[in-house]
Amino acid sequence: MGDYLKKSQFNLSLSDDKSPKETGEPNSQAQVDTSAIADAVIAAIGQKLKSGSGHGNIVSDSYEDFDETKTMERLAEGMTIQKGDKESNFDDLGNVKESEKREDVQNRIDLLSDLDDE
Amino acid sequence: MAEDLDAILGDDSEERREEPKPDKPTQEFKPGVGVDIGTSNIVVSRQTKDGKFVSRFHRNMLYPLEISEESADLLERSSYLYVKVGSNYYVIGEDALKLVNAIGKGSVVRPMKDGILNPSLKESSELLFFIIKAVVGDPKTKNEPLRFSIPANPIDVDMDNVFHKMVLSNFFKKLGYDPKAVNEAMCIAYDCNPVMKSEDEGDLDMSGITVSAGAGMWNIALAFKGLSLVEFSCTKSGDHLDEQVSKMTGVPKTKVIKVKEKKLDLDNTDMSDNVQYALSVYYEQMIDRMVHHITQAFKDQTSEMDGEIEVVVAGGTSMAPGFCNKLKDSFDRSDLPFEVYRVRHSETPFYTVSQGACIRAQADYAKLQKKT
Repeated sequence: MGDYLKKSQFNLSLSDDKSPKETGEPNSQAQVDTSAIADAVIAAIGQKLKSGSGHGNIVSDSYEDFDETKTMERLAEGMTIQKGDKESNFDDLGNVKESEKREDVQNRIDLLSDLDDE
Repeated sequence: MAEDLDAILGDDSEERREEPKPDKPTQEFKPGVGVDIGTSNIVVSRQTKDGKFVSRFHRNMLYPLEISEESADLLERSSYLYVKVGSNYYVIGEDALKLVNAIGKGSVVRPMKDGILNPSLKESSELLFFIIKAVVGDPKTKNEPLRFSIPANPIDVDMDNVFHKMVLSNFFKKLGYDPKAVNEAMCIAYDCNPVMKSEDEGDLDMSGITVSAGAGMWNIALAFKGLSLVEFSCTKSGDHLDEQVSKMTGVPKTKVIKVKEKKLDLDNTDMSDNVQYALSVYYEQMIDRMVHHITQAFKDQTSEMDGEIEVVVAGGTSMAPGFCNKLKDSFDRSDLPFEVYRVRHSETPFYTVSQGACIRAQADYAKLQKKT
């Protein structure tokens, strides 16, 4: 798990605001329309290229058809297991703030309870 | 060590403690809890039966101290709140910031980074679960609906929130809730009700742009009648700004945060103060960058949005006075395909996301009631 996250973090550190499409200079000397090829590649591999972290992402995308959902579910489950003893000097945390009466929200609760957006 | 400790603790150590104030025992709550687990703060909201929101908040930061006689002595003599995990004590919340300021070295760490679990902190999930449990408390009814805010996937880095969502969902299930994720920016639409002035349909509720400018990222949504048309996030928000200003000025990040929170006024920046000046420059750059991304993301959304729209902002990074004016100026200079008639700050920017999540959780409960 740690390695997976570190790898992601590494990718993050390499990325910047610009997509590969924006940073790529057209090759004016070649006869091949490289920007059209780049567009086709981007369309084919979808959003994952957006970070622009270069070859690393392209290579990893080649085996991304595998559904990782179940693996992630297991890992997420593992992260809720509390390992070892913990000691603290509190039971509950946080300060409390009370708002004014908010009668305006009931209409929105009614409207949202009728939405079928999930 | 004793003298050092006195210097660190000062004479107000008793005042440092973040005292939990229990909910009033007489208060009765409507079913449905909203939780905003941000990079910087955890906020939990419930609504009382007479319509008030009661929110509990905790600063989501830690200061690790290696277990030793000195650190044990420090904690014993102070009233700092801490958790002992593995080989470290973690001083938590506001105390972490106060302690690092008093010691003058090291820095606070956060269990969250850029809106999701911090991958560089080994114990982040364990610590976060422990802290969440203490802030959220037990459900008031069996399987009480709970909505927790999550960021949309960012457009500027390769990051996926699915795993983060799964981990948090498991946390809340273990506490006995019926949890669902909700987009952070949409929570602002539920709580603050942006209004679109449509030529054909008049004023439309929960329609407009909502922006949650947090410490790790900006979350942005285009809402239409309570539905999300487009949602995305961008990194390099408040934390990034603090880091850049700290690097540029050589002032420690914790002091930069202090200046940002206590002195900065974007309408009236004190140019003689290097930190304030640098903060104002980076704020403008950040706002222009975000508006650029918003313009790009919403450029094809003109079919539903046929009127003038309102922008509502919330989140810790939006708290600086003058923030809305800067954002409105930037929208006016942009190529956004809709007219923005107003940029409004949430009246309760710190609580809006959790209150919006609470509204959504109450709607979940109402939906369940209709089904049964």
